[in-house]
Amino acid sequence: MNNEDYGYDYDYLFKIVLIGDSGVGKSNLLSRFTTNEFNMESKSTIGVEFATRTIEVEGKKIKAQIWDTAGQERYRAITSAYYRGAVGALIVYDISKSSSYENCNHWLTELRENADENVAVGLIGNKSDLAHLRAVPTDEAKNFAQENQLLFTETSALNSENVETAFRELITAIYQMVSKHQVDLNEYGSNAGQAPKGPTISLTPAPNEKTKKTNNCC
Amino acid sequence: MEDLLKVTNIVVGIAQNLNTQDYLSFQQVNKSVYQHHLCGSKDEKMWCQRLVAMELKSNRNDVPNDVKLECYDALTIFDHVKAFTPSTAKNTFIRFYKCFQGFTNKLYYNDLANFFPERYSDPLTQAIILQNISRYNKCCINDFTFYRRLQDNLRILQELFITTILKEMEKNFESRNFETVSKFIKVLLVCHEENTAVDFFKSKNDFMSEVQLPASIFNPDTNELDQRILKGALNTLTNFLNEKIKLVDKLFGDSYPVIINYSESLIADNLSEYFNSQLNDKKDSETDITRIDSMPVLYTSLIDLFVANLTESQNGGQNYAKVVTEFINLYFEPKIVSYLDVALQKFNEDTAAKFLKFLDDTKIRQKEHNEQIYKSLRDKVSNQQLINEKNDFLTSFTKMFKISNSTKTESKEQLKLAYDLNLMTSNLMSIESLVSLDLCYKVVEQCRNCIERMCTFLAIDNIIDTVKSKCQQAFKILIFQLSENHLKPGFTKAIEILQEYNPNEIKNLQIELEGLDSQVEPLVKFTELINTGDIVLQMTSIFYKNELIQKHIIDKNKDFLNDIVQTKKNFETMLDDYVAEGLNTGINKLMDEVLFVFSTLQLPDDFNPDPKTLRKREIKPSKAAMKNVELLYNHCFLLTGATDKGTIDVFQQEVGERFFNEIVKNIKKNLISADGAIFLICDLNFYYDFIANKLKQKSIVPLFAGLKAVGQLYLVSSKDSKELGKMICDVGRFQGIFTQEEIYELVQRRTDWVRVRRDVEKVIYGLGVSDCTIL
Repeated sequence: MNNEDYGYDYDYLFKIVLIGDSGVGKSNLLSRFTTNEFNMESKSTIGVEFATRTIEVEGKKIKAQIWDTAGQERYRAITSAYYRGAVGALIVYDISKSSSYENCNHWLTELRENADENVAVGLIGNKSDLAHLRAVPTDEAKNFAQENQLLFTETSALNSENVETAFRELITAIYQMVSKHQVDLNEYGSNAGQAPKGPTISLTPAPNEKTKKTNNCC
Repeated sequence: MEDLLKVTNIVVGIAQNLNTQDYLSFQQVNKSVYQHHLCGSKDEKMWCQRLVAMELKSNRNDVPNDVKLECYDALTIFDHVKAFTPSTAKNTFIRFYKCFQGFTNKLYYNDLANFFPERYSDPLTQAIILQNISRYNKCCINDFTFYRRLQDNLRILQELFITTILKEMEKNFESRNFETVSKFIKVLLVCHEENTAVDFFKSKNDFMSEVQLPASIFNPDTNELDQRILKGALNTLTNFLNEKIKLVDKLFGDSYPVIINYSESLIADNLSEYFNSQLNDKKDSETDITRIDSMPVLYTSLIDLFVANLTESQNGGQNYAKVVTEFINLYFEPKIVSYLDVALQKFNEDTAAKFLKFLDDTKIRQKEHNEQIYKSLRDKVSNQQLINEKNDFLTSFTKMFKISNSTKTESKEQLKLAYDLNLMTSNLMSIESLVSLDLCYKVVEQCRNCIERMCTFLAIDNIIDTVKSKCQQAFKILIFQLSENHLKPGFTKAIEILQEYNPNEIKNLQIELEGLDSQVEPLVKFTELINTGDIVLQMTSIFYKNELIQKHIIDKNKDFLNDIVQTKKNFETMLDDYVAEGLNTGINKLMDEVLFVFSTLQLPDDFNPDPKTLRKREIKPSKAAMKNVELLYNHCFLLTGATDKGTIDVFQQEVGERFFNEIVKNIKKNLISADGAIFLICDLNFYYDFIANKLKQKSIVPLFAGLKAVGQLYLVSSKDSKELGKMICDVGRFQGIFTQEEIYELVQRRTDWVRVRRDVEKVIYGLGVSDCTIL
């Protein structure tokens, strides 16, 4: 059976954005998570890149569609378009570069301004392999995360440390939020086939095989 | 008169022109003559002159002379007395006088009977004495009349003597009494009668009368050299000459190199004549051409079977074999040079015929094939199969062209079209048969053989330059034939087919059978042809290095201006030109195909999705994008290894640039919504990824980076129309690839253009066109 046309190989499709200063390692985090690759000579991302990976959470297949954005984008009109429909976000900084940590506040503000209010957010201190060059103390970042209700992980895209965990935690958090909301939606009796309005617009559960597909057809 | 004899100069002058006896008489003419002019040192001088005329050396210092002078006679005196001092000159002369004056007197009076005393009965002794007499006679060479009379008579005597010797020699030679013959030969040599000796030897060892060579060394039917007969003939020759070498050593020893002279005559008169007559059968010129082709084998056999097997010759010396080789080289040279000419001519004609035959064969095959196609199609029409059985490709084809199949004329038209298209596909199949690698290889091999055979004669110093120049000509012929008679027609035809190719027609015809193909077939075939061309080029380069440079036919350092290098370069240029022309055409066809894919597979809702289906859509490249990248992928790397990196780079960059233009055109053809932008961006990322990471052509990467930036124009929400206007003005954002006008044109493909236009134009122009109202 061809999944493209007749069915889906996943139960949920989550849009997640990677944000943070240029050069903190967003693209390599993404490639480490989706294809287990690392590119020493990776260049600045132009515009936006996509990658997906399907993982299982509580028996459900969740396809994470991750948007890797250019850290140096200056136009708010574009960044806001990136955030549109995102249910999760990872704000990435470089533990050896304090300015990239200091900017996290700015990224968080921009995210809150543009994205869904329920967006799940994780703070990632990347390049943990550069411990000898550390400029951002773990505790300080941890406190910042707690204050802002962010997940927090220190990772290394280079040696894979905690990459999987960071993404998994975020996706699990989104899933829990979505499943809770879906109950809410069902209680309100909304038609699942219509593009949902309001904050749930982006929490897009994929139709579950054919039974649900019939629902979608109006 | 008497006064004359008082003048010293006159007296001495006279005295100098007198023979010995007259001089002695002249001294006694009177006291005054003797005492004033011809005694003491003046007299000494006279005797000295005589001795010097007899080739004796004058020494200033006294030579101790203990040997008893009485022991010397006419036979030996010259061996012992070789020098004198002025003071002993007269005495020395007296000794010679005693030995020879008796003979001289006899000669003067032509009293030749019993010329030699009995003790000199041995012919060799007599010969030596005759030579010594001649030498002694020189003492009175100034009295020329006297001297000539002596010498004339001596010559008559010697002739008689030689005649007798020859008679004796002949008698002894017939009875194979070679030891005696050898003695007589020594006599002849002492008498400076070397030629007589050689003539005698030659007359007694005549090749023609002793040896019978085979009537023909060629097979009369094939005119090929019969190696067995040749071997036999050379064996006969070797045996004959070896026997003569031994005989010469016995007769002459190393006293006179008669074998050299004898061998030269043998080679010049007998060998070269024999082989020349073998090579020129005079039947017809073709026979001669076939026969002369055996020249290298013939020459090698002469050296290896004849010269190499000659016995050592004492008479000929250590270099005898080398000398014989040189004679062979010298006397066979004209035939060898004419072989070189014939071989070149033959190679040229053979190769031309081969390539011409290939062209004819291909034509015939193609014609037969075409007839077959036509026949099978016509059969279908006449059987109404074409219409009734709904032949797969024709029905689809009919649909495409909306031809109703109800009338006969229309079915005829169909037949014609189907035939043409079938013809095209079969042409595609045969495009690689336009240049036959196999045939090229054979021709290169033939050239190698030709040169190798000609190089047999590099051993001949005299014609080295000729051989080298002929080998160079062979290479030039090779290049000429390969390019003019094979690659040129092949490439011309291939480019023709490429130009005639219409991917849409072929596709339409085959669409139901094979679905959509991701290849521009003639371009694939053409790259195969480029590959073949490159292999042929490499073959000639290797050939040049291995055959011409390594064998020193060409000196790389000296001959870099040689026209052969030029020929090689022209060949490369010609191939490059064809490659460029074909690739250019190929790129056009490839872009036709890209356009075809965009027109057929890029669906209107690809970038302008229905919001209802949006949430189901995964973000991945569109079918059209994947198909086109696949198409490019299938063609961009065909040249790898087939031609030089520069050509590949130019090709890939050109494909990339043209593809970029097609993408821009494609964007302008489609409408893009803010929701659909992300799918366009995904396509553009996909293109970028192909160019930057697969094609790896750095120079065109910015084009595709610019496209990525263009994609973001559509992502911006219509709420942000003012910032959209700012972005359009921010030309640096688009990598300098697009002008503001172009960006402005592109942004008009937004589905909400009408809504955002006013704000955008306000930012760009200060106020929107829509703000203008006619007052």
